Amino acid sequence: MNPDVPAPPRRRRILPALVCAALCFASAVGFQVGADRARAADHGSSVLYLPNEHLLRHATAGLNTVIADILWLHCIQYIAIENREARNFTWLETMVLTTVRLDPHFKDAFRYGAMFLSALKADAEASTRLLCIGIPDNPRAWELSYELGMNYLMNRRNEPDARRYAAYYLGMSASTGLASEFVATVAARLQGESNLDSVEEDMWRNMLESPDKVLRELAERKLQEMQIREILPVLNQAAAEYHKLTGHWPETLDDLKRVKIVDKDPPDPLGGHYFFGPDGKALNTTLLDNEKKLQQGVLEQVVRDYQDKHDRWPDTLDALVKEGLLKAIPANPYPGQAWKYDPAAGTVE
Amino acid sequence: MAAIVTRALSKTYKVIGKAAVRSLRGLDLEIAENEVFGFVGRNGAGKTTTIKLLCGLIHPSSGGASLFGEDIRLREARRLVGYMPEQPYFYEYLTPRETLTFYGRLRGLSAAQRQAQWDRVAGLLELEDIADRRIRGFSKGMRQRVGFAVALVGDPPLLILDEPMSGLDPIGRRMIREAILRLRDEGKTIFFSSHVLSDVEELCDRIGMLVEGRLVHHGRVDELPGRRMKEVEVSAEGLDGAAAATLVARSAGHRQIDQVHLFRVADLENANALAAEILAAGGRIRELQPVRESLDDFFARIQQKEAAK
Amino acid sequence: MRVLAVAGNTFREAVRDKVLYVLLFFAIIVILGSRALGWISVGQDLKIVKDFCLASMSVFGALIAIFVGTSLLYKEIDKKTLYTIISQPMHRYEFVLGKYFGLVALLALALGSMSALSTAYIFVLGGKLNLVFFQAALLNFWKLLVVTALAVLLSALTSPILGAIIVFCCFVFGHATGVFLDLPPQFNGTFTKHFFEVIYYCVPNLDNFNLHSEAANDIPVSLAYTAWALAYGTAYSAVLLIMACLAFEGKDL
Ligand SMILES: Nc1ncnc2c1ncn2[C@@H]1O[C@H](COP(=O)(O)OP(=O)(O)OP(=O)(O)O)[C@@H](O)[C@H]1O
Ligand SMILES: [Mg+2]
Repeated sequence: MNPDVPAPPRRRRILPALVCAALCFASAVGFQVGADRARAADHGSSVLYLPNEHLLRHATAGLNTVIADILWLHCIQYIAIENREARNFTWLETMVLTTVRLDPHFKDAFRYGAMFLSALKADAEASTRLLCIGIPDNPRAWELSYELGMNYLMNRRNEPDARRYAAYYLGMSASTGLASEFVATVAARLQGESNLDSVEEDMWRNMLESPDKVLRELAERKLQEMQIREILPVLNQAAAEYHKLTGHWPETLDDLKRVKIVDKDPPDPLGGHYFFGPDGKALNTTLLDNEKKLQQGVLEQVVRDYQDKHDRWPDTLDALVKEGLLKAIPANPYPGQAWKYDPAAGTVE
Repeated sequence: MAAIVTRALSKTYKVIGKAAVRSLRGLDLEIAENEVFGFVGRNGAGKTTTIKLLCGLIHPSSGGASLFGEDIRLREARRLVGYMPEQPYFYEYLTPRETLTFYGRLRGLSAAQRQAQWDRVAGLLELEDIADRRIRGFSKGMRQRVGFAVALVGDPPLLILDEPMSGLDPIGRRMIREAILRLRDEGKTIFFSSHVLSDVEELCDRIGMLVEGRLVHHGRVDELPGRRMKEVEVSAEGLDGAAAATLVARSAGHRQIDQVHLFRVADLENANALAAEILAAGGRIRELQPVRESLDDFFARIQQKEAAK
Repeated sequence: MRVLAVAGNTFREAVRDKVLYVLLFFAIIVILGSRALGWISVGQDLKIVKDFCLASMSVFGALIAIFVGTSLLYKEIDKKTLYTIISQPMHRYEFVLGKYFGLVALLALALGSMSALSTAYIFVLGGKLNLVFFQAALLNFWKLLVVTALAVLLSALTSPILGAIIVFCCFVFGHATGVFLDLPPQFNGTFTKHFFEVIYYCVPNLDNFNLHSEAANDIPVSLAYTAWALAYGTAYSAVLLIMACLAFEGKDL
């Protein structure tokens, strides 16, 4: 008997095992290619090849959606606090963008994020950018194209093609077949020459039924602002009458009351009051304050950009224009008032 | 056919960054069927290494071995062995009954066969009263019994036991001893290592001795060459005081128990001379017994000799 | 048969080690976490609940796979329990496979229960679940097959602590393999780009199995994609397992 069995049995087993492993690995690579293709087919083209957009998501070890939720909640808190205080919304766009990068299908973050950007920060362009990121990844989400259409309709209505874009996106929303009838109606009304204000009012009224408090409050406030805006043309007419009567423009409502053109104060549900500009244009402090806050926010943001670049505050606001950071210094909405800029602290009053 | 054959079996442990340890060097051994073989050597001599090689736990660095003609690297060889490790460890959360069932399944036994095995083994090792307690709470002796039982599952013709009796009380040792003898009578081959030479002497047909990985000695216990006769003891009676006194002076040692005198002399020559004188003095020889060197002394001497080389 | 015996034993060991208590933590985290967050959210309660369910499945499953998996073989070697097992007439790879499938069975039980709990909880909250939620749960489980295979491989090679660290890194990194393809455009056509492409296909791509966003937002995912991902997971696990068997085969115990 011979104990030295010739071929060591281990060798014989290793080779097929290695071949098997190599085959499996090759098929794994093949399956990976297949999976990438299938995923691209599911989501349009962009999922893997959009540079940097998804980098953030990679770093979360599969927790991206939960982190997106938490960030989104933080974002809502931020909006609530900012809405009560500074109303600058400096970080809003970044926060929303980060949220949707973590969870590219987070419809509501796109939708409400865009809404907050346009309605609160008055940054219609940021709102448009956000929605344009969301729509390709979520072709079935009627809310996003609806919101984009509404954005053109209300916030960018002064731009030349706004009405056309609005009709296009609202039509896109209606064509998903998932939107409420309301969207189709609006899209239809846009084809005719109906009043944009009434379309806007409908939208805010629709939102009053939202289950969420922040959204309800926003809609309520927007409706109240619309009431104020409706009063302004009436006052303008009254001022014209006053001018005809007296030869000069009124300054306050009391002037009109004195000549009995107006018998009682028009209401401002948000606690402001009405007055007249030097050319007799009716103005309202609530609306002007809103406007002023927004412009102030824009200016301070640009001042901070300047500081980031030069490591010091600009000496005057004009330096911003010279730097090319602004095309022109926006006018203070209050007629005859100028911005008070503090070069020591970088604040605008 | 021989139960175990090893040819130049060697094992060198290589650990990166440390010197290689040559635990076993060129072991040549042949163990016949139905033999009880004892494997002795100091701590670190390489006994466990040999046993692990035979059971396929480690791979030989060179050389080879076979069990009943099957190469030890093959699975078929392990079907023929029951192995009990130095300190048998089992899944602590299982009971002995579940443990034996598990090993029965590993050996591919059917449920009926497993039950038969359990009945046989539990009877041999008195497992019934601890059958359904978790091993977690077992004493060393209980574990040892379970370990032995596992080695017996599947009724393999060869049992390889690594220090089966270490750490057991006298009754436990006797149980294992009797089990080994019974298995030998059933025709099994038993290969075990031990430090307790009296056990080896009592149980083994043959022994092998390892010193630093080399087999320095193997053979029948009673025929180990160079195992010297130390003294001869002559037991006599019927001697009177004076005669006894002169004989005591001539012998190497003396003891008296009642009327019986025990004289010790260096070798048989002297013993014969002494016996003649006892008879001449009117005494009677009761017994003439050679006193052999104890196995312990024998190994100590060999050990020293090897170390001196 | 022998693989089954080892697998059954591994499963039983893990159950008796109270690994399944993880389900309790799962329930607590999902209910408390989603309640606490859903409370201040904008009508997002159900999305948050789904996100929490899926993320917790992924995390707790990975914890089991990493901590049990990396000590799977090592513990047997360390405690010498496999001396009597390897000396039985079986191949060593059968032992490795048995260990692996035992843990996989445990994970299947754990993830199955988690999915059932999630479904029940979401129904109680008045939500409804689409197919894509279950696709996501299934892919989550498949991801754990790969992680477990990696853990088993490492447990044949290193100590559990080092193994756990490595597997954890691979887990985090495996979700990030996309960065290798998301290189900035200046790399186009360079050697670096090809190099990273090779790496992309070598590192296990766990992001393939991440459908959490789709599931929480009810975006349907094609069955074709699911099938590709499942096939990928199976093939990659097989590679790792074969390597684990080879590593274990030549080992001195
Ligand atoms: N895994 C290992 N790595 C390195 N060296 C080892 C290993 N296992 C054993 N050795 C060495 O091999 C030699 C023989 O060890 P072995 O366990 O075979 O001795 P033994 O005769 O069984 O001793 P004891 O009577 O104490 O059980 C020792 O020097 C030991 O240090
Ligand atoms: Mg030993």
